[in-house]
Amino acid sequence: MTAPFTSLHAARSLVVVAMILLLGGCGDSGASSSSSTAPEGGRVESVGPATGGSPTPGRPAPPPEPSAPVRTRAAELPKATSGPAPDRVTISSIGLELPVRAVGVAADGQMDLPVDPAVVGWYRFGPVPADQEGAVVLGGHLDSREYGVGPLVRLRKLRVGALIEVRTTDGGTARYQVEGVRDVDKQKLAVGELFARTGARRLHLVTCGGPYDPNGGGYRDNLVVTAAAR
Amino acid sequence: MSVRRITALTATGLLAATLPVAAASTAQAKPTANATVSVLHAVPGATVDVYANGKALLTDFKPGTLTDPLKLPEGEYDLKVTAAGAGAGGAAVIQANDVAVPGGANVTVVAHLSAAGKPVLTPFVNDTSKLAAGKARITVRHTAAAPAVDVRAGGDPVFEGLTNPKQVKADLPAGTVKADVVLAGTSTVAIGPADVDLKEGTNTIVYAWGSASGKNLKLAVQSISGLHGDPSGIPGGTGGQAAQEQGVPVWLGLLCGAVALGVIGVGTSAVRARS
Repeated sequence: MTAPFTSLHAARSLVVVAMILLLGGCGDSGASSSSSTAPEGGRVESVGPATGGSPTPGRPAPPPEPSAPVRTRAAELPKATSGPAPDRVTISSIGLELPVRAVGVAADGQMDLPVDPAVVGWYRFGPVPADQEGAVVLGGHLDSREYGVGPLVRLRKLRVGALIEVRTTDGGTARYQVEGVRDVDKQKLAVGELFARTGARRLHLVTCGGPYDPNGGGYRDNLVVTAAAR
Repeated sequence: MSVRRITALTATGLLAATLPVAAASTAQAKPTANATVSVLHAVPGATVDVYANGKALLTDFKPGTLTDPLKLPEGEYDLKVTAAGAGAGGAAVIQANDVAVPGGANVTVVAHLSAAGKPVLTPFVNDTSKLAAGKARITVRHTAAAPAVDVRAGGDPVFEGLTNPKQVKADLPAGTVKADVVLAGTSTVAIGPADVDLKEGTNTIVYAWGSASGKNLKLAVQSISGLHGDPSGIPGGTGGQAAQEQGVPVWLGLLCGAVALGVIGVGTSAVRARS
């Protein structure tokens, strides 16, 4: 994971050099000092083009060969477009029917879950059921100190081939077929795959599993249900 | 023809014959990388053609429009912007030679007005580094013939004293902000307000462009998506009762229960002390 960052950084340095070269050539010289202040809680960098220097000869690029006409579009504010969100999940084969609530990211960087284990969270930054690709991610607590054991304890009885229905806020229903029910060590959870926004349309329904370490460690595993859209 | 002249010609011929081979083997050793280049037209009132190394790259390119990202081989480009239909030999509205386009970089080349109102080309590097889960990136670029500006969100200055052709950026929680642009240090609104949807995992790049004296200042927006990070995990349970029901040794729970209660107690008092 460090290699891409290193090369990206190198590329950036190169481009700064490019800017220095270019600005010498195109004549719009301005001061290059920082012109920014940090907003509260935000990271701000001023990376405006530097100036000075003169163009130096380099390897000329081959002329571009546009195979198709370059597409252009109005540089307008994008409209917030997103399909209807999940609001209920039903798994008849294990007698499960639970409300779903949109959730984001907790302060510790994990997916934020509803405190009530009888409510399932949907990761709102990921795909919705109507999206053409990626994984809709639902997660819920297995139990809680406050509420006791929750209904998701029944997920363990879920069998491959079972049907999961996800109702959305527009009244539609997306259907998924269970392909796997697995315990995954939380330390080894492949979050990139779990929260994938590309690839086949699927559902990932996650809770906890494995032994519980009451001494701060919590559950060792995640119980991960994978289901394919049908 | 003197001997020396013939030798020179031969040498040139040899050189010409040898060079492509050398170039080919170099290319083999280090494959040519592509750069991702978008072009934004932000000079008011002029439909233009854009030439790269003498070849038409864009024709009938209108103000306020943006190209899809182009994959261009890394290297140096001579860029020339002419009035639409003027031809490759037409007078340059803007010209920039030896523009280095490094492989792997993501760049937006903007044709815009300088602060003084002269058409210029500025390449900006787009920050395509990964964002933390739930975060959005906002980049603001001053490409207008206008003095320094502040950018406000919900009426509060977020970026202050931004001048042409600078950019500023920040990684913020995803969500919609009501943004406007004011003359620096004042509450005189130059552009907006506009609701800007800062989409998670996306670098939303906002350009202030046009001309203050021409009274045509406006915003252009470019979005680069796919920069999202993933949550680090899914917590999944806080009680431990289910584990006991599922036959995980109860003695483990009993043994550690007292310790856990102790930890909770300490945690609670720490929170109290802080609040």
